[in-house]
Amino acid sequence: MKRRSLLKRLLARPAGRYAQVPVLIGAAFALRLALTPWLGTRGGLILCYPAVLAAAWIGGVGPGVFAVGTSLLGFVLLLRPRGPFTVNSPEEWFGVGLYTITAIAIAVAGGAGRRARNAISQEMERTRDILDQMSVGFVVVDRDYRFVFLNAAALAQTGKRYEDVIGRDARLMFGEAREAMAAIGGVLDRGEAREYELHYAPTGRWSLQRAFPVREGAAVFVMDITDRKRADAEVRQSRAQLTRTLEAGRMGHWSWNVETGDVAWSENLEAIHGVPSGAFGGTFDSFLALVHPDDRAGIQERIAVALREGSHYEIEYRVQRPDGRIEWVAGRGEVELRDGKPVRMSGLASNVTDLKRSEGERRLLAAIVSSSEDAIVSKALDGTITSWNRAAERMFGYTADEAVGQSIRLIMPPEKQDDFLGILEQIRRGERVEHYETLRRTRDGRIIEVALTVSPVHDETGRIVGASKIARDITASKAEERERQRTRDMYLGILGHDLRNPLNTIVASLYTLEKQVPEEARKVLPRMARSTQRMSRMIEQLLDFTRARLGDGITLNPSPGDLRDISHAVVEEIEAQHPQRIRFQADSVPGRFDSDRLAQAVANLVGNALQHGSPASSVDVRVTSRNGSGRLEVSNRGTPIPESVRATIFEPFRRAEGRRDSGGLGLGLYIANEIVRAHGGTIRLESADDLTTFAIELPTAGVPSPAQK
Amino acid sequence: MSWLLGENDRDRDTVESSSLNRTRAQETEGCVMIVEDEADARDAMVELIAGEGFSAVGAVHGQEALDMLKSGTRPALILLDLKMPVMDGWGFCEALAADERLASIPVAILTASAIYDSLPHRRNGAGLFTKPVDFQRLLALVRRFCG
Repeated sequence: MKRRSLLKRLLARPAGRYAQVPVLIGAAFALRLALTPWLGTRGGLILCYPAVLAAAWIGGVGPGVFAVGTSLLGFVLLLRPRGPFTVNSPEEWFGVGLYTITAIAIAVAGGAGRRARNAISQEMERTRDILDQMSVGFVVVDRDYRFVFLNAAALAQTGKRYEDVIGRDARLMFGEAREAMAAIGGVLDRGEAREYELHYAPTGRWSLQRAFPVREGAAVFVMDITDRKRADAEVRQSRAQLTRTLEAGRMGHWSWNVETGDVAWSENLEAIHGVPSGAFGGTFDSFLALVHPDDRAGIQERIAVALREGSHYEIEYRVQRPDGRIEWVAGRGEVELRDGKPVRMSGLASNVTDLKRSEGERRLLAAIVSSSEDAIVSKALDGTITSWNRAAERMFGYTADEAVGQSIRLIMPPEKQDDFLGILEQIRRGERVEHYETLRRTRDGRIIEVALTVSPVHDETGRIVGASKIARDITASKAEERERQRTRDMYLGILGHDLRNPLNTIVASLYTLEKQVPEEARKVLPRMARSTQRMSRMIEQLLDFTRARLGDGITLNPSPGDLRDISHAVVEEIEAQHPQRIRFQADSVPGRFDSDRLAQAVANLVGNALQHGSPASSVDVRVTSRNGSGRLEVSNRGTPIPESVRATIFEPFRRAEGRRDSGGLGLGLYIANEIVRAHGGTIRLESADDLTTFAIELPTAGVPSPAQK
Repeated sequence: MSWLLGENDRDRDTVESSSLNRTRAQETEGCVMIVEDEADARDAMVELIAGEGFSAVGAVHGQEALDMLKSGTRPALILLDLKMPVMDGWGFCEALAADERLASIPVAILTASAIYDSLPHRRNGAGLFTKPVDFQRLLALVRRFCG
């Protein structure tokens, strides 16, 4: 903007102001000489008037007077002696004198004019400088929208150079600043001042502008608010971010002006309290009204304490939702003090219902664990105890404090110190150990019998990190079981030995008697003998039943034998009592059997067939061998076994309807079945018309494992 | 009822005669030795076998039977109960097997217990009888060894 020509700069200096004078005067003389043909030889100084005026106008009074002197000297010393101008007559000298006076007057006047002009121009310069210093842009346009003036700040706003802008039509240059053009238009057309914000896209800057009328046209103040706008945006953005963060954390922000009682809530706080958006009353009382009545006093007390001590505030309270649900809210905040007085409390609140609920569930589980009759203990994979419930304290005598952190060896009996290693190995494989009966040692050294169930404990990622163990003290129940076992053994002993011995004596005595009693009394004896035999059979069956049911099952004593020989012996023995009723047909079936037991089973089947079969028909006993197994069939003809009875025919104490005098306890088939099963075989009832067949299938390879069921 | 009483009276008599029998048996060569701790059972058996015309001798337990055998009694058959005081049937069988002179005597086991898996190892086993014994079978056995 401050662009001056070289000439102007030269003329601004004193020497420059004087140096112009000879040039001007020289030029005036040269022109006068050139005009001689038309102006004649008189008035040679005539053109020096304007030269003096110009010198004074440009350089001031001094150069003006210097120009007068220069012109006089030049005229008298240079031009007069050489012609064409002559100064001879007194009137002519008078003319020179008049010129001198007039030219000095002109020089003085011109100098004054120059001073006046310089003063105005300096004033303008100063104003311009001041405007340039302003951070606010200032623009003046004329009525044709042409730029008349722009200060430095305004130029910076346009991003252009002064020369490129000044005198140009603003509409053509800054058409994109539509608001500005519209406002200038308003000022020019209607004289209205306007204030507006403008975002100028090409520079990306924001400005606050005010357009108002001035004499030339319109002036515009331009204030750059780009930074403020940017800061505003940042504030807005960080506020939005905060809101999002709070929402993500399902938290709300609150602020309570202690002095006015106003409470400001972030929007999600209303949701947290179950209040429709915008419905919160905005006061402390309206907040309190949302709180469950039972929790209000607590809140007020905490707040009072926080305000009094200026301390941190933290509370959990219940909120009764409009739908009746109770939700838990946790709030925390800080007190803001001014001059030691609380002025504001603010903080966060969040819905912790789920947390509370899971905490409740956790407490419930903890209560269950704690109140369990069984000891519940957890341990890490290295056997370190990690939890220890009350039952464990009672059972083992160590308190939780003493046990947790110790090795589980603490409760291992000396001879079973490494018992748990095997269990932990199983746990590591993810297996469960169920009802493992073992021994443990209590604090006072007692050895107790426990039944353990141990399960793996997984962490969130599913990794096995430990084991939970439930231990039941079975010392007492074990003792009870042993007592039961003893009673059972005693019972078996009575059945097996003590009852049979006297019976044996009776039978032996009967035989002796037979030879000695008179003839007429002798028929009594076979009756007694038969009854004794029956009694003996019943004892036999009861014994077998008791062993099968209550004991360890029927015990086998297998040895090599042949099913044919075993059944043949049975048939022979029975046939002696039932002549002509049994037909026997057998293949050899060698194998490993308990001959006595198997004979008992066969005898039961044959006896059964004889008893229930039609007396007119015979009983068929057939032994056949098939690859790897033997089959023994006992069949009879007669009334078929009713359908309803078949399913339960091998169960104990089943007797054919109305046949109570059958002489047994209804255990024959049951025992036969048990014996066959102990041999690893099966027994089946096959019924067709009037033919009833019991078929035994026996593996010949041997009994599955000796002395087992 | 009176018959039953009579039986009881006879029973008492047998107890007395049994001790007489035993004293006699120590001198004579008994055909059947009955080892049984229960007096009634022992006497009933002795009488039964005697009633069939064979000589019989009773022993209260294994040790007494062994003592009698060592002092010269040579039965053709021993009927052995298993559960007895002092020396039971198992012990007696072992002692018998250990003595070369006695090991050859056949032994029939009479047991009230049906637990077969614990039977003694029988040398010259003459059979197994479960009480109450099938006396026809038993007498057949006696006849076989003594007849």
